[in-house]
Amino acid sequence: MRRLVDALRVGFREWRTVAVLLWANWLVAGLMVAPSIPRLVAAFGHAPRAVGRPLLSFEQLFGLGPVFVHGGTPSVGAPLLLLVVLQTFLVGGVVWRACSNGPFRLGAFMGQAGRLVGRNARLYLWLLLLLGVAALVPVLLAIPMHVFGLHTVFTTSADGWVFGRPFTVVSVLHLAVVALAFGLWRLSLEVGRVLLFRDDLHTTRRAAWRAVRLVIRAPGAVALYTVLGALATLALLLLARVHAVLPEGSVGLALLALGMGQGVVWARLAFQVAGTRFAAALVESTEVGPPCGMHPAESADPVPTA
Amino acid sequence: MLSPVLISLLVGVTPAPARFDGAGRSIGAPLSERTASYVIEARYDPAERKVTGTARLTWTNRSAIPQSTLWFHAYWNAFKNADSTFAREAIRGGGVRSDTGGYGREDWGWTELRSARLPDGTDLRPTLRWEHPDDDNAADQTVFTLTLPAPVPPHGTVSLDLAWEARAPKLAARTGVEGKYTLFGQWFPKIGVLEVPPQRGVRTPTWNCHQFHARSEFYADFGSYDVALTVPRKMVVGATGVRTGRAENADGTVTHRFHQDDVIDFAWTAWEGAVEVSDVFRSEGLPEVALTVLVPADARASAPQILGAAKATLEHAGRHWLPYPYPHLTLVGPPPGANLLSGGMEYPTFVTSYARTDPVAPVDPVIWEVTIHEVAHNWWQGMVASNEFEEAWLDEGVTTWATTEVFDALGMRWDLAVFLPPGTRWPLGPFVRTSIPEREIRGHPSVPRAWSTIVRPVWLFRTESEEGRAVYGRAAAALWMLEREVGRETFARVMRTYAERWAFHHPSTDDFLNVASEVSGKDLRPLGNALFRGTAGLDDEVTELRCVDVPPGGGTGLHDVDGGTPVFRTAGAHTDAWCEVLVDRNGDLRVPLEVQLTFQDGTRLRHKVPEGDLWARIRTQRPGPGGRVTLAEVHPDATPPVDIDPVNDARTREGTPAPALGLTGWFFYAAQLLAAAVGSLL
Repeated sequence: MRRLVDALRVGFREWRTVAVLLWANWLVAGLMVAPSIPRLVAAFGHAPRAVGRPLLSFEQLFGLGPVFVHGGTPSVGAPLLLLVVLQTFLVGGVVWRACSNGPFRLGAFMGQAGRLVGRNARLYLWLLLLLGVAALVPVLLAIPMHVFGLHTVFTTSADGWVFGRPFTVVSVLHLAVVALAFGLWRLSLEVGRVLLFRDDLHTTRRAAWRAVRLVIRAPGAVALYTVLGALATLALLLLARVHAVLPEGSVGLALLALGMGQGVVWARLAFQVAGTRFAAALVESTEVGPPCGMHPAESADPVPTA
Repeated sequence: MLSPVLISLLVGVTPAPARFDGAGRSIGAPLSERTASYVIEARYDPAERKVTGTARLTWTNRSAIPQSTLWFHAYWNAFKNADSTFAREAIRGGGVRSDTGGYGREDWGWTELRSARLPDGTDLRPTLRWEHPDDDNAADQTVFTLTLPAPVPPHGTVSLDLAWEARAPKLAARTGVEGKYTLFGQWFPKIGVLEVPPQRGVRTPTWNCHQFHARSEFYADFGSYDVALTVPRKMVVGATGVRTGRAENADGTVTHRFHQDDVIDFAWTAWEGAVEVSDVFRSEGLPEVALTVLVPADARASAPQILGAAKATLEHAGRHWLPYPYPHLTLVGPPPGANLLSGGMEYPTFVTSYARTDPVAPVDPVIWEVTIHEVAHNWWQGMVASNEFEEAWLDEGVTTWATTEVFDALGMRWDLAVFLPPGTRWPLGPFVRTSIPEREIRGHPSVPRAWSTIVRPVWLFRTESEEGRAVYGRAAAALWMLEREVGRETFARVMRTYAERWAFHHPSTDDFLNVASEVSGKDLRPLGNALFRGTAGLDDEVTELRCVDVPPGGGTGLHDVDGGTPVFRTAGAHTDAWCEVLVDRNGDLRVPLEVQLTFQDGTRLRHKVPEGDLWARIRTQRPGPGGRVTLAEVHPDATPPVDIDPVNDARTREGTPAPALGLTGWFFYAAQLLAAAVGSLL
């Protein structure tokens, strides 16, 4: 539990790291939305009948069909590809911050990110194999459940979602298994990244395998990491809920909603940093070797030697 | 048990005289011609999913021409194999919850006529011939004919003794088996409709008996139904009409008897484990109606809501259209897993609604809307018995309009949060919290030109979704257009007159438009035909609004003064406001267009756009700054319900940044969350 609290403390203390991640998030989201802005301004810039109407109304969101009839809808595919590249790049810096107690320097952050980007990409590809294996667990579990007439939230029919109770004890337990399987994969990925950084490994297959072994031998850590993920989801949900109940209808309220939305995303990204810190602490406590923050590879600047 | 009359006296409600007795038999003159009446005895074996039945059909030749060939529906053969027209259409383009594509070996259903005899014993079975009036699909066996040795004379009657056997399919298209629940719709050999001039525009007597299509519903003549249903004792039975008897049999079965005069169909359900809830609708001046609701035990909480919605509809319809004449109404809330496949279906005095395990209290629009809709169908198609194959808007479009009327009268609006499953409504509710009128949910058109006209056989639409939009939403919006033309009060009289005049008959689109024109005193046929038989849409838009200040006598530059040498003049302290408004007509539907300009000093100016013009440029010059146009609107009195984009109907000179900023902000926020979610996987 102490490890969890420490991870959260680091996650929310590392505001500069979160700001870098938020910047990337803005870039991707901005590229998604940009094609729509001229159309929205043209359609609603002098539209008294849309003033004061809620977002979920035919004057606004539901009535967008004619606005986008000649294109201009948000773009998703290409910005998400950019996100993949950016995220793969930035995680190196995040690992550095999760391991370091020193001050944040943007140059150092980018230096670590650039140093590790290739290895992090290869590590991710190796660990995609584990994702497939981890996904098999809930899938295989769902088969006998189906035979015995027990539903998961994934096999509940549309009828069941609208008219019945998709969240039963059994389906929630299955969902917990899904969360644990995902937590196992995600923690392995984070641990692998920490190992790459700490031990300056160049053989990513070996790093992946070490990470998986380490995580499998620490089931308590997997459970705690899953709890961290659940906390992140819960926090996000609560903050997003507060955001959703904000009133609408004026420029001030629109700006307030936008600002509050940044709080929601900020919290999500802080949890991401906390997750990496959790993995670093796990490595430090279970692997032989120096604390990751003490390793020469931690520093972006050359360390003077005698 | 207190009798209904005594209860009425106790609560002080004076009901209207009943039109039927407690056994479903009409009091006084029949309400309909009773062209096709049935006495049916059927037995259901749920283990084999098999129905064995006999029927005495009494049919009257309403025409002046002898009829020797009789046309019949065998609807359940739509589920016989993948070669039926129904199955082919369902695979190709989808149907009304009719996916037979996933059927396994045991899922198919069928019906087979075992014998057909005249009362004198003459066997007609050898004359059976499969017909395909709608396509060239020789494999389809949903329509057949029988040929009589001697024709039925004009206005004469014939009786046939039919025996058939059928296997219920796996639940699809609102019929069949799901677990311990079976819904029997279109389940017996059913005679088609002989249309007689001038009925629905036919010029000679013509059989109207279409194949079962993936998107089609039905069409039938009125008659009396006396039906005995034998099922295992543990099954609860609900059916069209009034239960007139229940007899236990030695073999562990029970025979339920039902009777109802003056209906077009008979449907029923046999269901092990259903909970039966009874109530009575009573309202001053309206006939009493006994109500029975069948729901699954774990969705019992839905029963009061189904009853509430049914009563509200009986009340509204009884006051505004026509009192519900039948003594009984059965409502079925299907079991889990069967709601989407069999809920939301209308039969005379028997409808299926939805049952939710955890309905939203106190009013769940999911349950109320579908119940109101299906109960309203008892007027629009049940009594005003249109042809659902060829003019589906007359039942679905009118009923969509009717549903909106009841919804609005109850002050109900849609909140999308009600669709969330229990346990998620509190945390997730605010994300989709809405307050949308039924009218906007159902009737909001989205394209300036449709692919298909609303009036056409339902299997001849371009796509399944277009058919749905046309016969429900577009048709309802078309009715609101007519209402806009004549006013709400007059249109209410139109609908009441239409119901009174065409109840227990078969109206067409022309019949409706004729009634509407007659009652309103305005020829609504041109607009009605454009809406129902045309594809044009409407999108009138204020495209531009701009103003500049100019000198009162003209703009800056050289001007002749008293015919002398031109002198240079610039804008002085006093200027005029010169404004220009551009209006575009983006759709092809021709309705009168008026533009209203509101000036800064509060005065207004109206301008009529000449008929046929696709655009108009309106210029004004008034002493400023009060002469500046601040707002330009098309259709200032009421937005046409078929206008696809009401937002562009008005434009201000000053900017309105809030909506664009709000939408952009929400798009950005949603994109951020999406990026963050995808980031979780990286």
